[in-house]
Amino acid sequence: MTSPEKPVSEGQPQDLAKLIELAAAISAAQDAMTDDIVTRLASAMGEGMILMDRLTRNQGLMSLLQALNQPAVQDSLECLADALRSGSVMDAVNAKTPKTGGYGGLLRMAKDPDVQDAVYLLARLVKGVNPEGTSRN
Amino acid sequence: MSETKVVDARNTFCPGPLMELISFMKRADVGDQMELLSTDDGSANDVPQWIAKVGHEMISNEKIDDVWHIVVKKVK
Amino acid sequence: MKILFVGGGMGGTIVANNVARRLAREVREGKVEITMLSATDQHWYQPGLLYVAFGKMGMNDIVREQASLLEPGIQFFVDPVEEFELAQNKVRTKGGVVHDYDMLVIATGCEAVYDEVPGLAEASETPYTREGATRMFKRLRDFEGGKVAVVVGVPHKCPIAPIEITFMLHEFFEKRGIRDKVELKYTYPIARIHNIENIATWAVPEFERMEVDYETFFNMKEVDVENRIVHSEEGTEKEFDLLVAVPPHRGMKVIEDNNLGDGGWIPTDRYSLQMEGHDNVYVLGDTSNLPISKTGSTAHFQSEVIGENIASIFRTGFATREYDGKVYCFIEADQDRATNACFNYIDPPEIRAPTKSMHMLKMSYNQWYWSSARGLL
Repeated sequence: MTSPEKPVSEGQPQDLAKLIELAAAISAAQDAMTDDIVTRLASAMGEGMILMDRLTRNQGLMSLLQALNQPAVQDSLECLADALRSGSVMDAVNAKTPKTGGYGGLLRMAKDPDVQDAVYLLARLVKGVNPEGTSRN
Repeated sequence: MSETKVVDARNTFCPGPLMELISFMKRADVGDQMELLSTDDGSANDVPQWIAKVGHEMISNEKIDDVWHIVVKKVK
Repeated sequence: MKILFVGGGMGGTIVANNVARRLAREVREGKVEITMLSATDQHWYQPGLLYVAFGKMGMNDIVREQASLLEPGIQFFVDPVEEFELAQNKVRTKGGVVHDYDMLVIATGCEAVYDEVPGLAEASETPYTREGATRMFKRLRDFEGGKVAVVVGVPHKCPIAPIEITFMLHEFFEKRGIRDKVELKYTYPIARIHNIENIATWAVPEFERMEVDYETFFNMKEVDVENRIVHSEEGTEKEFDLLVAVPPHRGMKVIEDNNLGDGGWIPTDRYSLQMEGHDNVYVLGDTSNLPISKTGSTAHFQSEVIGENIASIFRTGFATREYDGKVYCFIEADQDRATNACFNYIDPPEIRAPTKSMHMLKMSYNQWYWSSARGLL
């Protein structure tokens, strides 16, 4: 931090030195850049820009992001993430795959308490999204 | 049948008055006249020079209020 | 309100996307209908053809599906217009469909034509068409030495191309190690080597450094294919072993066939960009008769004016902006450097010394073009 009384001209040689250093660095970077490098970078930037533009103008997505921001929803998502990580969901899915399919297999699955929990959670989520687009939560 | 067409090339830098004239000449019929308006002082020399090289007719070339009015006729 | 865009090239795409973005809500609410008619489902980045002709880009790098570039609110049909009935505010397409409109934007562009110069089609190479660019690269790659002549037709799009082509030819033959076996001869239709005075002043010493022979006041008249000589209207001639042409151009045939403009060039107001005599018709890009550069940047800047005015007319009944003639063109020099020309109806172009940074910017823009086309950049 410079004191208010310090004359402007005193800072300039240092600033100029830094500017020259920066220019030299840019010049060195330019020397390294081939047309191919520039093309790839610019293409990534361009496509990135287009993607951001699409995402930010998608009102549905923006509403979803707002909903996802709510604490209760974040809690649920964290639970889901934990469950996935612990493998219990995948175990449950794998264990419940019936050896025989058909109506009998379906009934066996429906009786399982874990399956019933999952169905209940799904039902709550679906109920929360009403056709007019506003969340109940 | 001939007609005088006005081409307003004032305040244009590219392609410029002479190129506009050349474009017009290609589409014009023999006998057609064109009045070229230009604020480019260079065209006061270039246009007559080109007309002479190619063999068309220079009708008039005058500066009125900073604008050159150059009237040419396609003769071949 | 029905807004119709005829032409899906650079200008048409940018302006349609511009309007669709501005009136996105109104389109969703059904108050505005936006339609685009094009002759093709593909969108070509035309400046890329120059790079294709010199083997620096592939065809796949410079084309995308037109539909992928358009805002969701635009109804797009690959069904070109055949008849314009401006008095009834409608057009009829090749497929027999009638589209009526409240506002029309014509952006049909222009194309290279060879019938004006006998022998030119058979004898010359050009980066101005897709087939031409591919063929030109093969010829350049196989060329072992001799006289290379550059000829320039009037009018043409991309005014800087003759200079860029010459620089690129010089560099190409240098890199192939045969520059000493090549005589490079440049010709130009008017009194100097480029219509923009500052560019001509800058380029003459560059040509001299590159040992490019140049002749001014050379308007091609015909090509003697067998003897490989191109004759000029001015009575001079040039021998060649390889002839590289910037061909003359005309507006699309549909424009002339419908009596919208002599030569396919539609009479346009230079500020409002309205078609003369038709307040609800705008003309954008190469197809106007304006005595300005036929470039993508022209179309881009015109799009901003037309886009804003269409939205403003819908919302308030009045236009709000005028086109100031703005054009911005990159100029590729040699040794991976470039400069630019930026001008409008009032300010002439100042040409700065070429730099690597500008070349990088041009290389970048070749990629960012697709963002421009979407109306984002």
